[in-house]
Amino acid sequence: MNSLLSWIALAVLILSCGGLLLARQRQWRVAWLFLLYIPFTLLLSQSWPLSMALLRLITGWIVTTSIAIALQSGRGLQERDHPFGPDTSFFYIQGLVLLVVIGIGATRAFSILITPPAPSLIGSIVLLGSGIFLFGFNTATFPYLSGILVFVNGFELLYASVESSSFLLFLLTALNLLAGLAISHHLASPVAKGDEP
Amino acid sequence: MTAAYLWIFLPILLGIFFFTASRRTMYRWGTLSALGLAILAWLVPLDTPFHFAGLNLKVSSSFDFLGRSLSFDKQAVYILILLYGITAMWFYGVHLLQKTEVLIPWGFLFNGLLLTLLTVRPFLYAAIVLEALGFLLLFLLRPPSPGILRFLAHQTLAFPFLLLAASFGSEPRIMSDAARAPFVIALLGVGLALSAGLFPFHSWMPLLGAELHPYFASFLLWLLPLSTLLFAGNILERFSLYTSLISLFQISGLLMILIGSGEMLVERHWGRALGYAAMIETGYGLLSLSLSQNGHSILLASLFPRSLNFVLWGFSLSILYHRGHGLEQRTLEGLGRRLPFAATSLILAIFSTAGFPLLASFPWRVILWNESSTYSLLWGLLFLISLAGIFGHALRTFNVLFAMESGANDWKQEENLEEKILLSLGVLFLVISGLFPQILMRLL
Repeated sequence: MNSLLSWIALAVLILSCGGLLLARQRQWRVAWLFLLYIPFTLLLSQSWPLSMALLRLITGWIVTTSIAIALQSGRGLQERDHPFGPDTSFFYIQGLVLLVVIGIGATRAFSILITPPAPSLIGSIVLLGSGIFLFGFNTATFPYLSGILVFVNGFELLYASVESSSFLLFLLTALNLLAGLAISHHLASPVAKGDEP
Repeated sequence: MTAAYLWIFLPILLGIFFFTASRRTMYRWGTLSALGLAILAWLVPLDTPFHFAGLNLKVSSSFDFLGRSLSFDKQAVYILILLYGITAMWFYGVHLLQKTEVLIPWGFLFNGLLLTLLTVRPFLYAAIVLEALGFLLLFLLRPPSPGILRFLAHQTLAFPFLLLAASFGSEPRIMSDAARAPFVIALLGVGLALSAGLFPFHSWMPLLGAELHPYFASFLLWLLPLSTLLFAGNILERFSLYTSLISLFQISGLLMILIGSGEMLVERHWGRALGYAAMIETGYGLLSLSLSQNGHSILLASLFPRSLNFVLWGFSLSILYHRGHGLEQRTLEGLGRRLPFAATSLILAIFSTAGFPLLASFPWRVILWNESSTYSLLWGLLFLISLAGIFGHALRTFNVLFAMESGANDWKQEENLEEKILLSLGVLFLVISGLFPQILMRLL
């Protein structure tokens, strides 16, 4: 893939992660998640064939759409989630900058084992870190679980340079769909009292 | 026909079917199916033709797909028998306890996934199965309990470490390189610590015990640490280079049994105490794997008493929970005089976990104590202190359940006949497996 395009994809990915971290309203988080899968796919196509990467794009969009529908049906799309940790924009911008710096540093450190393209590696570190920020500082279900989803996607980007088999793609696609289904299940409807085991 | 069809795909399909079944169908057919799968595993030889109902049959131990496989070895068959046999016990208890029927479909699904985890080759895909197990747990509870969320977070964090370590570990080019090998071992160490709930990543166990219905909690606290522990044991057994992780297992195991038993001793919520029991059992499992030459065999042989303790503990605690309306110690005071069978079974299950003579875990605790003392006298002493903590919890349970005001004489037996029979059978099994541990060893 064109080198310039992959750096542009990385910039959009960082922007999407920033949006995910800074947004408090759920509808905005869903929108950023939807956008995130475009640069994610472009970076993934550096290691995988484009057809495989496109399949992941479709899976990601299916997952996001199912979450959006679940939020809509549960009337939770307009709700806001505030982290229990730091709640200032400056903290998350600092965190994001730190992740990019770590990502740039990792391009040398990781070369002992794997040599993914630099934008992919930086992108995966940003995704992994953003995921940890989301599930580390939130107890509300939606940001917590979307953080886990983002973390898994970050690892996929890193691991794509190690293995590019169609079987792995199948497993990761199934895992993402399962995650999307589980998150949607939680967000779909309010809990009936005594429903839980 | 392959073993994977019978013991992985069929249970998963059964699990999906039971979601739509009625409560009555669920417990009857669920129990029978689980028992049938255990008996089949016992009787059907793998990779050997046999004659049945006029047909020549052969069950292949390996199921191959896209260059990967699900392979059942002798140890996997032992785990199969144990897993489905014990699951049948859990399922049978469902019809006596309210709001627990959801355990049956989920039990089949989790069993199928656990066996996939243990039999998948190359084993690196097991990390993905563990992650999937974490996501499946989300369907159990709405809103999700912090314990389940923490389990999922730990599995998610472990997932990259395990997958990368397994991927590099299976490449001789990397593992023969002196500079790279320690990096891979460190990756695996962190991954296993997070995944198997090693100290200090064990917090989801007591949380799970406090949040869920005790029957459900005890089932999950039996199955989840068992899955991750067997996964860790498989890795250690298969790759000799990873033996450098043994000291991590030793220290973590010792800390888990000491902290777990200390917490259990002062804990006033009996659901959380159950969570600490799972933590302690994980600690003993880690010590088995790390202290002995035959650690993996000892771990496998101790699975039956461990499972029996959990079934009896979960079932008797659930009966007390329903009648006492809670698991806080104050709500259970004196309940033993109304429910003597449940109270006695609970106390015996705790005593068995503490390695009390003649009960199920006793022989395995003695073996482990012997190994600890051989390793270091201090370790032997600390091992005994951990047992004393559990023993103290058992004595306090006895005191709380049978506390009697002076002059009061209000003994009753509020359990129904079926509950009494099941509890008595559980205690009988505890005693028999404590008296004749060689039966288990022969199975291995």
